[in-house]
Formats: sequence, structure tokens, C-alpha cells
Amino acid sequence: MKETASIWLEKSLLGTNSSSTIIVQPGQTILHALQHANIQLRQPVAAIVNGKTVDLVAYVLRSGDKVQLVPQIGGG
Amino acid sequence: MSIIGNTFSADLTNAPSGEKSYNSRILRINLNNGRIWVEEPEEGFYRKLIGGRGFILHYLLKELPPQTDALDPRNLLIFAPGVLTGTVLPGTGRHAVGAKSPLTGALASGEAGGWFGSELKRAGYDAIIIEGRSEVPIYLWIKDGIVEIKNAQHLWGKTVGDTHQAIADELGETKIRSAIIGPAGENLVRFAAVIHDNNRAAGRSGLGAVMGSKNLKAIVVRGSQKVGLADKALMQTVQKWINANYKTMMSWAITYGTSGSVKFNHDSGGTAIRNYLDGTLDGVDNLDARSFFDYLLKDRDTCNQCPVRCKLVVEYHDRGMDIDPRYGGPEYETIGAMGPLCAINDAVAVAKAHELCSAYGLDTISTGATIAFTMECAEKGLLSGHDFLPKFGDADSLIESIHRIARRQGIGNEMAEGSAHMAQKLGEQAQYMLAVARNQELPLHDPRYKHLCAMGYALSATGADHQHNLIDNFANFPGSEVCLRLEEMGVQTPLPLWGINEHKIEGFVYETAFKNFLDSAVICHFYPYQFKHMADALGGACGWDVTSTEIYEIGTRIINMGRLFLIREGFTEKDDNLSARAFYKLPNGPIAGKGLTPEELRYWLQKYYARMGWSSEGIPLPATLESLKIAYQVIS
Repeated sequence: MKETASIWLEKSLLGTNSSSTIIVQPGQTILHALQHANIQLRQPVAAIVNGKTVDLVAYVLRSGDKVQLVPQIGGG
Repeated sequence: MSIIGNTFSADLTNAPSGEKSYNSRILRINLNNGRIWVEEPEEGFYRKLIGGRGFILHYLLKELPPQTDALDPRNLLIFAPGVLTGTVLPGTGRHAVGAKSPLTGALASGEAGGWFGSELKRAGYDAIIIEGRSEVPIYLWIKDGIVEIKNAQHLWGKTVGDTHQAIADELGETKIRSAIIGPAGENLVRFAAVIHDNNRAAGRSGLGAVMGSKNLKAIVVRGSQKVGLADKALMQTVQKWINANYKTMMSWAITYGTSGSVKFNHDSGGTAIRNYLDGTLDGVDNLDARSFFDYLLKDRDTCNQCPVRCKLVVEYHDRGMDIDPRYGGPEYETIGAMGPLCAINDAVAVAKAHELCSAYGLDTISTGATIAFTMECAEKGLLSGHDFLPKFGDADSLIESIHRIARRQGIGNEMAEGSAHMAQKLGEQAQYMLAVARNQELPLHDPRYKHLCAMGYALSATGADHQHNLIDNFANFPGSEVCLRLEEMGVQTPLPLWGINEHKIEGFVYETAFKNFLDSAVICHFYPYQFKHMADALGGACGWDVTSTEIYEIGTRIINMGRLFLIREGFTEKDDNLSARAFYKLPNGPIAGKGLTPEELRYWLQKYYARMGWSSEGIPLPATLESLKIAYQVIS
């Protein structure tokens, strides 16, 4: 079985009624994985990989990574 | 001498500025002698300073004697809308309040939403500058150009909400807009807030204590004049853009407001927990809007000319607890400070804590952070001889602490001085528990996660502030409003999430200039405007031919004016720093091991000084000041 990583997207990022998970190839950044899957997010996110926050643009996915993308908004 | 009954009337049929968005009228009031008068600045004054923080810094630099105590009658208390306040543009229902801060000794400059600023413009005034101290408690009543000093002795000691209602009743005016202090401001709590219309705080840095020191309980306003526009068609281009985009770009604000960010900020490491000691908090879901809307939310509220309605109104009557909806509801910063920072996951207790802070007139960030600091001091045995001490995770002790701070009772009298003052008295061990910049408690954007934001905390003329700052993770997301702004100014994005580099500093320079412009104009930071939109908005409001570069220059001028204020108040580059706890690296959680070192911060501060045209001591060079047309005699 080919090794993969997964990205969980909180529902408000997609403007849908439920959250979703996509399966992506390792060896690319999270941002590239989203672009390859043609996913447009509606607001800034934090990327959490296996419980640790990472750089959305720089972190290169590894096999078995479980990524959570959660919305980020300002304080006030 | 009694100043009660003194009146002044401006002739509003004389509009020096014509069809523009400002009145060319600044209201001056001296509470020592009851003198009330008006200044009529020229157009150049407005174009250079814009309003808000620009006005505040101008008058402080020009008129406040250097190193005056913040609670001295000579301190100036300034209420300043901006040239965009009260116009038809969404997001302009804001104004600034400023003074020298009794918490930090630096600048106090806070912004509040609602209607007060817009109403003041409609009453004929672009700002109010108050000096001196009344011998007895008074309030100011301003209606369509007429100003009266009224007796407030019967209001002293009342909560904010009860004061607002009592004034409305005695004036027979149901639609007054108010700026009020509660008992915390009267008792000179160093982080007391000025509360507007019961539920909008100019919260940070102790503005309420400055108001209390002047025996000024309230300012109430009614105005019926129109805020003009010089070029309606140009303003409409910006209106059309935001009206077409806000539902998508601000969907987060429409659904839950900032209270919907609690869970995700926690999960990513953005919210400090248990006074910065823990990486996660069990039960944090309870504190997120998705959990508590069902049983706490009564309504949503908004500000002048804002279709978003991001504000919460909560109400609760159970568990022997009543939460008064007059005071709105807790936003993200409040929830973070009263919840995770104190290791509390009880949303009802946090909502009650918010209500009490509004009623007493307290800044929720400094209140929560000072309580969290005291909880750790108590846990480690640094405090003794008190009949009451707060405890991590104990919601009842959170509530009791707020009562005691506002009333300066027991340990509350120490806490009312702020955590930095407490740490100074308690000694070296307490200094390691302290999370402040320039003696102001850190907001709930963890500096160990957001490293440019950490530098912004260290640099700000107000002490730690997340608003006129750059939040790193927003610049790490391609196409975010921050990235769009930076791209417009030629900075390639996205920026790296971690650490600081020269490229990130370039982004910081532009973004903080933009934010300082917003706090002067005065505009809500949640709106996704770009430099070009603000240029057109200024043109539409005032009839000027403005470019994006001028917006950047205005913001940069105001940052440099803030720097001059720090220097003349005795701050040096050594004070551009964070206290010890901000450098503590967490052993677990989403940001385990992350954070700047003190050496890294110092290194990048030097790079920032150079980029800003400042000396290695952080002092703006003469050529820098000249290029920005800044001329205040503050450096010997």
C-alpha cells in the first residue's frame, strides 16, 4: 500500500456544513498539497501536524502525518 | 472653586471645514478652573495627524511636561475620533482614548467601538482634551455644540451600567452615548478602563485611572449634525468593495465573532495557559462559542455603520449567578485571560468575570493576567498573611479577585498596581513568573508562537499590544489580508512562520504603520482594508489626493512620535524587551520548545532600528524626523 499523509480541514475553512479529510502525498509542503488538491481556504489557518504547530509554507509532509488545519482569527 | 454649571456653546452653523468629514473644532476643558474653549486647527493638522493616536501623541508631546506623573492633574486625557469616524464607511464606528499611562509610564492609547466617537463628531467636535482635576466628582454633558459641567457626586461609587442609566434618567435623554469609569477608575486601579455605552472598553494601560484622578466620572454626548464627505463618489468605491466582500472575508466575525477562535487558538498554541506554564488545557472546548452560544448568547451587537455584528450579548440566570446583558459578552482576549491563563474552563464563570470587569471598569487582559500571576505566586508560597488568595482552576477565586481588585481590598490592593509592580516587591523568583512588556501584561497571542508579534510587544509605545502589531500566522497564509497589504507595498509573501529575518522585519514595518494609521483614522482592525482603500477613503472623506505611500507615511510618523514620547519619558533601548516568562520554553504542547531567546530579540531589534532610521540606541535620527515632518522638542 502506498504511503500517504492526511489533512483534516475544519468546516468553516471550506464554508461547508461538515469538516473533511483529504489524503495527500508526502514529500510536498502542506500549501502545495492544498494547491494540488485545488482547495481554496476562506481564511488564515494554523497547521498542526501530529499535535505540533508547523509552518504551512515550509513544512514538508512525511508519510503518516496527520495534519489539522484550523482557522485563525485576530483578538479583540 | 466650584466648576459645576460652567457651560460653553460652539456655533455649529459655522463649519470651518465645509463639506468634509471633520469639524475643524477641538474641545478643550480645564477641570482646575472650569474653563472650556475650542481650537480650530488648519487642514494641514488633520492631514498630518488624521485623528485618534495621531492627535493623542501630538498633544502629549506638545503640552504635557516630560516625566509628569500619570495621575498628576497635568496629565491630558484625550478622546479622539479620526477623520473617518462617523462617515458612511463600514468599520469607522471607533474612536481613541489616550493619556500618559499610570500602568507603564509610557503611552496609553486605546480604541473603542460603538457610537461614542461618531456621536462626538455629530455633536460638532473632532476631539476632547481634558486637563486638570475637579475638586468634586463631575461629568460632562455635550449636546450639539453645547458643553456643560455637571455634578457627579451622587454617581461616585456606582457601576458603569448604573451610572449610564442614572445620567440618562436625569437628563431625560434615552439615546445618550457615554464614556464612564466604574469604581476601579475611581480607586485608581492602574489598569482601570474607560467603558463606552456599557460594553465597549478603551481598556488597556489604565485610562480609567487617569479619568478617576481627574474626578471625571463620565462624558455623555448627543449629536444630530451630519458628518460630511468631500467626494461621495470616491468614498462609494471603497464602500462598494467592502459591501461586496465582507460576507466572505469576515465570515468568521459574522458567525461567532472572536469568541469562536478560542478552541483553535488553544490547539495551535496561540493562547497562554496557566500563566504560560502549560501547553494545553483540559476542557477548553467549554470556552469556545460553539459550546456556550446555546446557553449564554442572548443577542449580537454592532458598532456605527457596521453590518457585521461581531459583538456578543450574553445573559445568564442560574447556579446562583446572574449575568447582566447590558455589558455585552466576552471576546477572545477576555476569554483567554480569564480562562486558560488562569487554568479555568468554566464559560459561565468567565462570562461573569467579563461582566464584573465592565461594571467596575477594568481592563480584562491585565485583570486576568494579574490574577494568573498572583495564582502562581500563591501556589509557590510567595504571598503570605492574606485572608484570601486566588488559585489556578478555581473559578470562585477568579470572581472574588475581581471584586477585590476593583475595591482595592486585601491582596486586591496589591494586584491593583499590576503584576510588574507586584513582582518588583516580591523579588527575583516572582520576576521569573512575570509576562509583561513595558510593565503591561501580554495579550493572548503567545510570543513563543508569534515571534514578530513578540518584537512588537517589546517595541510598542503602549507596552504589549496585539492590535498595532503583526500576527505572524496571518502573514504565513498566502492571500490573507496581511499578505495582500504587504504585496501592495512590494513585500513578497507569505512570510515564514517561525523566527525573525530581515524580510519579516520589512513586513512588520509596513503592517505596523498601517495599524497605527487605523488607530488614528480610527478604523476597526477586523475589516480587510488595504492601503489603497484607505487612500481612497481619506480622499472621499476629506477631498485630498492621497496615495498608499502617504498612508504608510502617516502610520510611520505616528510610530516615530510614539518613540519620541518614550524617549522623553526616560525609556531607553533596554526597555524594548519582554519579561522572563515570555522566554520560557514549554516542554510539551503545540509550541513545545519554540520561542525567541533574549539575544535573538536584541539582535533583530537592532536591525529594526536601522530599518526605521533610528540610532543603535533606538532614537529616531534627525533626518528621519525631518523626512516625516516631525518637529517636537523632546531630545536634549
